[in-house]
Amino acid sequence: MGWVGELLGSEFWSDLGETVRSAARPSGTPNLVVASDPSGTPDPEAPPAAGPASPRTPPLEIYVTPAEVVLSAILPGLASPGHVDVYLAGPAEATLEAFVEPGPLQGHYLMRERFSGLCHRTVTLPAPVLPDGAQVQYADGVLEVRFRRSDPGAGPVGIALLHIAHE
Amino acid sequence: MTPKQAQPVTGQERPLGVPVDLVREAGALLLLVSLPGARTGDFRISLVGDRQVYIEGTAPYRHPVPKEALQLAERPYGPFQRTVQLPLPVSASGASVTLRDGVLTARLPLRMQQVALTWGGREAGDAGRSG
Repeated sequence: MGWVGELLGSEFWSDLGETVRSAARPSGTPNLVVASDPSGTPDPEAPPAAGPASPRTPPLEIYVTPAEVVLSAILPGLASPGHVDVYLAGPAEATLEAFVEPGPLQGHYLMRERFSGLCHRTVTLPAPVLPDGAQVQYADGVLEVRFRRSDPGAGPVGIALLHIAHE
Repeated sequence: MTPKQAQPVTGQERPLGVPVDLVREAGALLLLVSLPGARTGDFRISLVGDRQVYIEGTAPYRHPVPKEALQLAERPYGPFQRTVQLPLPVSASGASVTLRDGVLTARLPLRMQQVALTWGGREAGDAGRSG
């Protein structure tokens, strides 16, 4: 890439590779869907992974208890629980999609820094989970998804991995 | 199990920024501040003079496990502060503040008096008036 790459920096090219869809989404009830077969084979038709955190993707936290894997996402201003979807592309690969409504429709924006629109994160969980029985809670702008572990009582078997968007 | 395209990333904690939106409504400025996880008592918002808003507080850690036990930790905690310069003067009288779903909304009435304009011998909007 030469001098152009040095001039723009690796962060520029890494950001260019991320995809963020901003289309409006219809409301609905939260759902947990197994997107492909449980063996863990990646689905070639699946949307590209969102990769690591960026200003347009929610910060995440993950911790493990003997019975659950808990995924916490920062989503202030989530208008409706129906604007959240969680998918499992395998026993330990979770994708979170959420739509944050824009602010007031009346008036003119003089400054706009807060995120709105569709955000998307994919992460490998530190332990395998079950696709049913997940509990979701939203309070004070923080979304918490509690997955039931398929191996209750065991410690974490891996580390959380953030998926890098591939071009 | 490691997916083919995944690479190990530790998940860096982001700086504790306070993003804001500022909206001009009729007669007021609307200031929206993202404060995820915040509850009443975790922050203070002050009007400094008539053109500046100051927000300060602490983002508390509330998970039932120690921070060291987090498998992925991207959310910043601790003290924060933000000063927002307003483009128009506002009044504290009549101002209101609400906190919902991690968004603080402050409605600040403008401290200005609208001037009636005369356009070429007529006032704007009086096309139907006589005399």
